[in-house]
Parts: sequence; C-alpha cells; structure tokens
Amino acid sequence: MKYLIIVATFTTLLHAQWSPEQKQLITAIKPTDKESAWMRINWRTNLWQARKEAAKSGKPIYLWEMDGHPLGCT
Amino acid sequence: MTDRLLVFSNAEVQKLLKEKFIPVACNDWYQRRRQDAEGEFFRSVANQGPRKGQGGSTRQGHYILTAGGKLLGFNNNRGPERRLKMMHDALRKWNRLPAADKQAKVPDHGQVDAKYHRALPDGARVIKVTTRALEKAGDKYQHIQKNIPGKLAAVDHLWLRDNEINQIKKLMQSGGGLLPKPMAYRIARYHFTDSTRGEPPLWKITEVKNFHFKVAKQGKIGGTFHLETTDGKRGYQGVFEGGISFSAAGKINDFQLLAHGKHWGEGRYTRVARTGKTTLATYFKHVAQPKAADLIPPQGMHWEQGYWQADK
Repeated sequence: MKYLIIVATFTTLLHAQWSPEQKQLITAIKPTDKESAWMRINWRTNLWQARKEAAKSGKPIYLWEMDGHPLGCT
Repeated sequence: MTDRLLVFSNAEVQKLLKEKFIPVACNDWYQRRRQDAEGEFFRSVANQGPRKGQGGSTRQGHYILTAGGKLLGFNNNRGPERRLKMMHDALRKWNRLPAADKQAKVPDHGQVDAKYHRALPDGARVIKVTTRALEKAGDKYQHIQKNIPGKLAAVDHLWLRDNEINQIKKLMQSGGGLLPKPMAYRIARYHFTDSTRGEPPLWKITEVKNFHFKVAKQGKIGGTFHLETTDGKRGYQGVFEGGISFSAAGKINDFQLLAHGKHWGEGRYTRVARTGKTTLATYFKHVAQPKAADLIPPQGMHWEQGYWQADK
C-alpha cells in the first residue's frame, strides 16, 4: 500500500517536474511541425504486407530503402 | 533526413503517394542480407536497377515496383523535381502494364530469417529517443541557425523488456539505486549518440568512462555521463534527469529522460561535425500506444544480443 501511494504521488510529479528551462530544451529537441510533415504519409513498415496490399488495391509500391531505417535513425 | 524535409514534405509528392502508391519504408541493412522470401524478393527487384549489391554493398534508394516484383523506377536523388519525375514515369509504365502484372498473387511469407529480422518482444516497451544538435543563445537553447548538415531532430527507439521494467520497479520499492548494468550500458552505448548526420558510431564498452544512472525510490532519475574514444577524438559528456512512474496496477505509466552536454567528433557516416565541443541534447519519452513507425527496431540492434547485454 505504501508503495502504491509513493508511485501514485510520483505519477503526478513526473508530469510537473520539468523546470521552465528544461521544458524549453525539450521543445527545442522535438521535431517541429515542418520537420514532421513527412509523417503525414501512411508509411508501411512491412514489405510483404505492402505487396499484398498493393496487389489487392491495384497500386504500385513505393519502397524507400535506407541503411538505417528511414523512419528511424538515418 | 534531407529526404524527409525536401521530398516527403512536398505536397505533390504526398498527394501522389497517398492516391497512387502503397508507400513502405525498410532498413536496407536487414533487407539486403535476409535469407528468406522477403530478402529474395527485395534483391530480385534491386537487381533490375543499378544497386546490384556487389560485395554486399548497399542497395539503398527509392524503388517503384509492382506487387509481383517488376521494377518500374529507381532514384537516389534528394530533390523533389527528380523524384516526382521518377514517380510520374513509373506511373506511365504502370498504366501500360497488362492487368495480370498489376494483380499478382502474393504467396505467404514463410519462415522469417530471424538473424535479420527484429520484433519488439512480448511485454517490452518502446521509449522514443529524439536527439538534436543545438546552440545556446544566452540562457536558452535554440536550433542551429546556420544552414549546415545535422540541424534536424533524429529519432531512434529504446527497447526495455518486461522483466527489466520489473527490475526498475523493484529497485524503487527497495529504496532506489543504480540502474542494472545491461540497461544502463544499453542507454549509454546505443542511445547517447550523435545520430544527427546519419548512422552514428556506437560506443564501445571501454569508451564508457562514466555512466552513473540512479533511480530514486520515488522514480526520479538522475545522473552524469562521460563517453569518449581512446584517442579522445570523439566524446559526449553531460548530465541527465528524468523520471519513471507506474500505474496502481503496476504497469509503466511514463518514462522520460532529458540528457544534454557537449559532444565532439564524428564517425565514418557522420562527417562534417561542428568544430570543437558543441551542444547535443536527447529526450527519451515512453510511447504508450506505439504505431507502426514507433516499432522500428533500435538502430543499435544489428547485433541483437549485444543490444540486450550491452554490459558484456
């Protein structure tokens, strides 16, 4: 019970713990709306499933291949 | 990352991809190596273009293909005009294809080559890792003002297994202490990296000079870090703070970590670093409900065992 109280307390604290300076830093790190625009595309991540979907929908596949995942670290 | 900003943010490219194509993104490091139906399929497509993978070399680029595996276009340029031309040319070829070529029957995948396939283990959690090179303007951090490579945010994912999350919970229950070494070294070696200009070099275990990762009983996280190559040409030194919380049912509620410090040097695929020791910052945030893009394996997971047992 003691543990639950401690955890519940920290749940509240976690969201409020960042100082204004830290919040400013987090905002600076995160991608801007302009940088995130490419994620408006509904990227699939499984080539085999994409093949099946393409065959069913009658569309060609656009495959983006990178060393390091294109949706992750490149 | 330039592709994201210059090509895939372009409204016409987005419209075409949405309406005329099935867009899919894959990691060539795995795709060109995997010995299963998917690997064979991909290599058979790439072999129709210029990237034939001689000597195991890269096959990265942008391909347009049919579900049956016929290559309709290839391009590895970063300008939207040339990419749009490639897409329109491929669509013209597509429109001329017989119906049978457009409606290929795709067989079941069959056995996956586990050596070159990574999936989030059952019960594991995803922590999104965002890194950015910054500069200071007075007391505030700001984006790099000059137009240089590496000014955009870079994304990776940290994976924590179910039993590891329980270890953190127990650590908190017992009054707090240092994070178990496999997790601490995983975070240090594979996620405290400068990924802002491409695939970063990962830290060797001997390059972890100091990584003091403390979890308090209330879940507050804090520590210092110092990572540096033996020759001193590349390093990252700084501090981090954050917290982890659990729901009343014992499930992870949130995990956040904010690291910042001075980074210097570059790697084989991350040339043109800024001169001297410059500001780098990384923000970790638990993803409560991961989407497909959140399930991309950590970059440092090419050697899977090495990722999980990063302290070895």
